[in-house]
Amino acid sequence: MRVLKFHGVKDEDFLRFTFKGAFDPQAARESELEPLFQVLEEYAGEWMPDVAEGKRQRKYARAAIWKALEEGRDDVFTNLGLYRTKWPALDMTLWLWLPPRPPRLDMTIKVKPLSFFGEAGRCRKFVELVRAWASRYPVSHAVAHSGDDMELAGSPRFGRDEKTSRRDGFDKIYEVFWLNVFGPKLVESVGRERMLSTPAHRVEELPNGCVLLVTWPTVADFASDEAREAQARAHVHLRPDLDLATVLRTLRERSAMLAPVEPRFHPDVAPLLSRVVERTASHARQRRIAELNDWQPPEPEEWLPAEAALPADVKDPERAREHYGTLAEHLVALLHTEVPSVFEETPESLTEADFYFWREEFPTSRLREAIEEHAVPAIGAYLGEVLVRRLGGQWIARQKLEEAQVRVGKRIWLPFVRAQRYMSSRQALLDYSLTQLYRVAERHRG
Amino acid sequence: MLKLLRADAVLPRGERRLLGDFDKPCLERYVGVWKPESGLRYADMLVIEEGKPVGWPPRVETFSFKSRNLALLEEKALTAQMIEDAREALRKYGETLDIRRDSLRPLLREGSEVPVRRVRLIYEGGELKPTKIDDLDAVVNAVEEAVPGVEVLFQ
Repeated sequence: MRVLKFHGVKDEDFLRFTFKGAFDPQAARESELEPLFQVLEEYAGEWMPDVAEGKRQRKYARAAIWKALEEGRDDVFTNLGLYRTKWPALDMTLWLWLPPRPPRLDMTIKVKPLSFFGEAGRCRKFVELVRAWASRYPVSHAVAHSGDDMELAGSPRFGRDEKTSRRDGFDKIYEVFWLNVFGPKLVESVGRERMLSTPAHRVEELPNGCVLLVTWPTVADFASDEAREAQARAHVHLRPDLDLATVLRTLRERSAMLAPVEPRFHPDVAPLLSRVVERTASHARQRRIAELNDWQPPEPEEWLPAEAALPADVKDPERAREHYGTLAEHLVALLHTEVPSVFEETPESLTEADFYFWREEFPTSRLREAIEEHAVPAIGAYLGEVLVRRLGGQWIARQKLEEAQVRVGKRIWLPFVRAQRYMSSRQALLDYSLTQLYRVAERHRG
Repeated sequence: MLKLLRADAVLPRGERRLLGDFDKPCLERYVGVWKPESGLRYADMLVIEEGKPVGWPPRVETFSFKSRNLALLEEKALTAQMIEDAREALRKYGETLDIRRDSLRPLLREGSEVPVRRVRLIYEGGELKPTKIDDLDAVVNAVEEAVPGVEVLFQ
């Protein structure tokens, strides 16, 4: 039984659902919670959890759930994790807060990818599921929408500072998302009549006084013009103080930020930038691609024409070359567990190393002295060795490391100087990448 | 983080983000603190009020810095990990501490045992945290509710 890691693969948009509710602490736990799982089993369909976790993971079954809730018990709350072993990936958590705290029942569901909810039937079933839960348990607010768009909307703070937002929660209609359940207080703040007359795909008053509001039949196309228009109309209806044109403009700007951008990276650094982009959070990725499309790395300056080479000034050039080899091995020793391709000494291993240092924020997360004394010499030597092995370069040994050179065709490269500049900041790793220097050296091999 | 704290300390009180509860905060690194249950530990940062009139208990807060990859955890595991970190921080650097650094004695006045008003658990490393604020705020809420006396911050 292997649970699919929700965050284990490339970050991409998902359906986020949060439910802020309550349960009856007097009732026996099983009878109180049984309807919750009945509803889940009836409507979840293809994203139904197959693993339940308290402390241990078990195959999903009612008995496993009661066991897990017992195991997951703390003196403050009890919680349960529900997951899947197959796509779509699921990260679902159920929280029950224990006395003397108010008996809160909170749930979050994340299903990835969001595109799974492109089908109207699946979305309808999801709405029915929420409707059934919100009818059975008192709820103050519940919402389902694109995780990326919620992030861009500033959820859950909506412009408030963190403390205020955590204290007050969703205490007014800051935003209308794809699916919304407004609890009695929110309904009252708007006025029941007004809320029930909201223009939307579905508006329904639930028996306990909550209102269920769905703006559009499907959630996966939330960014389309039509869905945005429906979202804006519902929002300004509930918030007459807002102006439709302004709300719509904001929503369209968010759609534009999430619209796919075709990468057109500078060819010398494209392999590295693709890795960087893949690592970028999904809500920021398209903007990052656009930014990097416009960005041009500066031309490498760490070279001299062949005739300007500094002559070797060491007594035993062979020993000096061995020394460079040893320094390069230090890099292999440092990186090999995380970047196994470093053994190969290929242009691809240079890109892997670039990405590793960038991902680790190496220039700022490690001690400066350690970088200068150990990392820079190891990186310079490694870069030199790759130029030697893959481009037929030759070391020209010098007493001072920063003067050591590698001749490749008509150019003399200074790998230690490059490494020094490269390690000066996180941005410098991209500006002065090893990937790029190799590509340029290759082109000028002659 | 250290730089941030030091910069915060020299701002006018009203503008401070982290040390606003102090009048004149004195920042000390790696301070040895003793508790019977956890023995001698070193607080990453201890902040103590400087120059309070005699008779006032000195305000003391501690900071514990953690560098942990939280970006890949599911919500339940993430919350469990952070609650564990928060409880550990409270156990080692919270409640009542016996401050072992002699040079701080003049600020402590009545013996070296002081109540700690607040423990701040600070996660360092921007790349290591969950990418969505919705996820972050939900767990921070749960952790602070589960472990009163500890405040969780992300750098």
